[in-house]
Amino acid sequence: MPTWPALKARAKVLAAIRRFFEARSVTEVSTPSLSRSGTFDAQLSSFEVSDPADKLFLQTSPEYALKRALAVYGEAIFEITPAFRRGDQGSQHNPEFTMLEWYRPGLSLSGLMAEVVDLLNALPEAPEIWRAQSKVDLPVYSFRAVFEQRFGVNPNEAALSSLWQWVQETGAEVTHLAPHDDDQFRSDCLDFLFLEVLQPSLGDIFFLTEFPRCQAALAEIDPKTDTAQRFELYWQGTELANGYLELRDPAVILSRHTVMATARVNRGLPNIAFDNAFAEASALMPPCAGVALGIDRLVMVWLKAKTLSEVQLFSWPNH
Amino acid sequence: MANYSTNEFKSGLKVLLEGDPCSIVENEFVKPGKGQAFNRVRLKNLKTGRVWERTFKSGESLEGADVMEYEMEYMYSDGEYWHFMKTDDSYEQIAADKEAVSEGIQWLKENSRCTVTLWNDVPILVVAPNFVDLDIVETDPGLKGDTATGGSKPATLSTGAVVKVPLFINIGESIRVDTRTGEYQGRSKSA
Repeated sequence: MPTWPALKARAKVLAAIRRFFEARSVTEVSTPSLSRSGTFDAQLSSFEVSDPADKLFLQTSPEYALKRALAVYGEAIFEITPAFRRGDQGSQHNPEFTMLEWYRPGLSLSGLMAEVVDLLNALPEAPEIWRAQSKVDLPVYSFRAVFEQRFGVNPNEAALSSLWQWVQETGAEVTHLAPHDDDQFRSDCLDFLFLEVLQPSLGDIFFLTEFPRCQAALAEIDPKTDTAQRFELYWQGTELANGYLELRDPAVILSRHTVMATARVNRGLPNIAFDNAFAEASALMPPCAGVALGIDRLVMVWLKAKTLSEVQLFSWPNH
Repeated sequence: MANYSTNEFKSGLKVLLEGDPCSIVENEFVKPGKGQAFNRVRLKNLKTGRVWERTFKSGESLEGADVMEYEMEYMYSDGEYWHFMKTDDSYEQIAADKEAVSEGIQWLKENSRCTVTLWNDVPILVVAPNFVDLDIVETDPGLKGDTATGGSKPATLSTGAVVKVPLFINIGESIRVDTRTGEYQGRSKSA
C-alpha cells in the first residue's frame, strides 16, 4: 500500500503533467475503456467483458481510439486513462494501470523524445538520478547498432537458429519460448537477448531507437536504416515510455495484422478481428508522433520505490 | 497438493518440477515492451541442492510439493540407515537412506544438530550447520612453528571427512570447518 506522502506525490505528478500539456496547447480527451475491438498484438492479452448483446474488450491502451480522434480533429491530444493487460502481473506490472498517451501532429520522433525529457523536467521533486542525468543529454542507443556490435549481424537478418542458440547461451534454462518459423519468434528472441545481454551495459537512463523491422508494431519503417522508427525510454531496467512515428497506411496495417494473426494461430492464441474503423482512421491522421508512458512506473521511479504496489492503490492481488 | 501459477510463485514456495521437489528462491515477472511475457525464476532442487535459473511462460503452473524442514539431532547409523530425532520434544525418530544423507553426513558427529528435509514424510536431504567443530584423527605430523609458509596437508576428521589443514595442525586437535565449502576455518575456540 502506498504511504500518504506517496499518494500526494503521485497527485502532484499528475497535476504537473496536466499543466505541462496545457502550456503547450495539447488538449486532454477521454476515450472509452470498453471497446468492440481488442488489440491484435500477439503478446498482449485483452480482458473480454461478456455482455449479452456484444463482445467487448477492456483497452490495452487508448491507441486505437486516440488515432480515430486524431483522424477527425487533427489536433495535438493527450489522455490519462486506465489500461488493462491480462496476465501482466509482477512487481513492475499490474493488470490494471494508468497510462499517459499523447500525439503530436507534425512532430518528428526525435522532437517527441525531446518533449518526453521536457515533461520529466517539469515534474516536481526530481530524484537525484534524474537531476544528475538531465545536466547532460540522455544517451540514445540504436537497437540495431548495439545488437550488431555484440552479435556481429543485423537483427533483421540474423538466422532464427542463431538467435535461438544465443538465447540458450545466456545462462538461464529458457522454457518460455519455443521455436516458430515466424517474425514473432525473431522478435521474442531479440527481446530476450536485449534484456539479458545488451541492456545491462547501457547505463541507468537512456533512449533506445532504431528497432528491428519485426518490432515495428504500428511505427513507420525508415527505409534508409531498415529499422522501425520507435523509441523506448529505459530507467534502471524498467521501460517507462514507448513512442512511434505513427504508421498511417491502412494496407501496411492490414499486412502487419496478418503477420500477427499468423503468429497467434501458430501459438494457439485466439484470433482478433481486424479493426477497420481504426485502420481507415489511420489514413486520415496527420503525420504525427505519439508516445505512451506508464504513470505508475513513472511515479515509482520518481519516488525511488521498488514496486508498483508502493505507489498504486490496491494493486493485484489486493484489487 | 494445490497447483501454483507463476504469479503465485514466491520465495520459499515448494513445488514439483520434473518429478523433483524444488524450492523457489526468487521469482520475477518480465515483459519486454511488446514481447513474450515470462517469469525468471531461481530454483533450488531440494534433492540435489543445485540452484539454477529457469524461465517459465507466465501463467504456467506447477504442483505444490509437500516439503517440510525440521531441526533434528543425528543419533547413529546402523550401516544402512542413519537415524535422526526431532528436537521439538516429540522424540519422533526418522531413518534416512544413503542418498538423503549424501554430502551432509560427513560433517555430523553423533548427538549433533542438523536440518532434515522431508518430502511426503520421507527424508530427502540432511544439511549440517554452516560451521562444525570436529577432532582430527589422522594427519601427517605437525611442523612446529611453520605458520608462515601457507602449505597444507590432508587431515581426516572423526566423522571420516577429509579436509585440507595448515601444516602446523596435529592429531587430536579440534578444528572449525565451513561445511558449505569444506574449508578449514581455524582451531576450535572451545577446544
